[in-house]
Amino acid sequence: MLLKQNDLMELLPLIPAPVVAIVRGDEDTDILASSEPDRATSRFQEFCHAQDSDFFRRIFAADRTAPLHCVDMCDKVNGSGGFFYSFSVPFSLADARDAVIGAAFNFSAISQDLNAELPLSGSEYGHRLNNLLAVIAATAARTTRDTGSFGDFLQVFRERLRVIGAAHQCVPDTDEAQVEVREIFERNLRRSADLTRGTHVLSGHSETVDVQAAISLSTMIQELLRCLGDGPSGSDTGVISHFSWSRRAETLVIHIRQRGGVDERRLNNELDAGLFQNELRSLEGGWRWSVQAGTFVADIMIAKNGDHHDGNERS
Amino acid sequence: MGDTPARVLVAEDVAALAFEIEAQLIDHGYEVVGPFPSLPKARVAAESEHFSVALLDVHLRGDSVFPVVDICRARRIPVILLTAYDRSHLPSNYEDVPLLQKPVGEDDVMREIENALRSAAD
Repeated sequence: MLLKQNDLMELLPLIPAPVVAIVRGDEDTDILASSEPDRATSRFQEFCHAQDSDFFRRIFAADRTAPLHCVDMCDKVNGSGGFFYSFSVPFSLADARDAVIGAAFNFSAISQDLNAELPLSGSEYGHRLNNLLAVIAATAARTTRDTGSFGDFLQVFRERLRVIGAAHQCVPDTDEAQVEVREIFERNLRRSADLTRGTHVLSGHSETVDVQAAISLSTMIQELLRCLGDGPSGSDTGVISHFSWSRRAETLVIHIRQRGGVDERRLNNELDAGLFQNELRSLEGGWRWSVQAGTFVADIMIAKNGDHHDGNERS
Repeated sequence: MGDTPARVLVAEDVAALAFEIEAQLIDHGYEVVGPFPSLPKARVAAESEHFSVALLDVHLRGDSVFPVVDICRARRIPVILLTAYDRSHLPSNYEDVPLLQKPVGEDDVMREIENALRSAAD
């Protein structure tokens, strides 16, 4: 995707995310401009410190729009040791004659001090982080595919990252193979307290799912809460009243009720595609939902041991 | 590749990754068997489906994928493993299986698949 320098300069002040534009110099790269200058440039400088020139050669390749990432143990600019992750989706930056003069890219970075106390064992931490990086990279690639402009990309990618980030934060840090379903729901609903107003019923016997299923489930809940709570007629009037789960044979059934404030068109448009359906499909699950007298009622069925619920139902 | 697209069996339990790999393979002209997020489905497909190469996440919902690797080996179908761990976590009898460590780029996936198909044809 070729981005005109003049277009970018107009777009930058409007972008609510770290974006850096760089131009190719004779021997080095220079920052041309950035949104959120303090945040973006400090990350960029920290990032540059860890990169080799090959990274920039790849960025400057005119046909390169695939996500690039780097995970490394490194010395940070301030001299401390850190576990460093950087990630970007570059867009080639062109002058008025379409000659590539540099690149613009959004920017995410996670730095972790080496001395920080990690709640997980080293290998499990690395495993979780690598999986998360893979999810981010795949989501970026998918968003590049789904959107036609740099501005659209940033908006959609940011929203998807927010959901994925929230979902991962709602999965307990544990080396155990199984996670309690109640804890996943409690953590997710705690993040959306304004949507539940503390009056919801959370009920169900002790049930566990594996860590990957917990992440998928958490992502689905976050996406559902986003669609229920952020819509034009969402959180002003809607209150989640009931969140429960039970096991029927080898199937975990999750029941959700929200009184009022449901935007049916939004639920149809956004939950029938994208993150929610992908996670549901990966859990070999299905769901059905309806709106009755202003109350949203949904059942999500998740299979265990490979049983499969084909398709979704709208009753 | 000939007229018929090569079929790639994919087993991956991370949804975003599974469906992005599926899209990338289709973009490159492959036909995808799966993606399967759990061991039972992957095992049944490995036994019964026709495919030319398998791309398998090492851990599927807490289960190890090696029973599927064994089936592929018995059928002389090349396997590529995908994992967020490093190679030191693999059992010694699978050390010779090509491994891609997450996060992995599209180019790396395609290169390994082409290598696997080439070596199977030799």
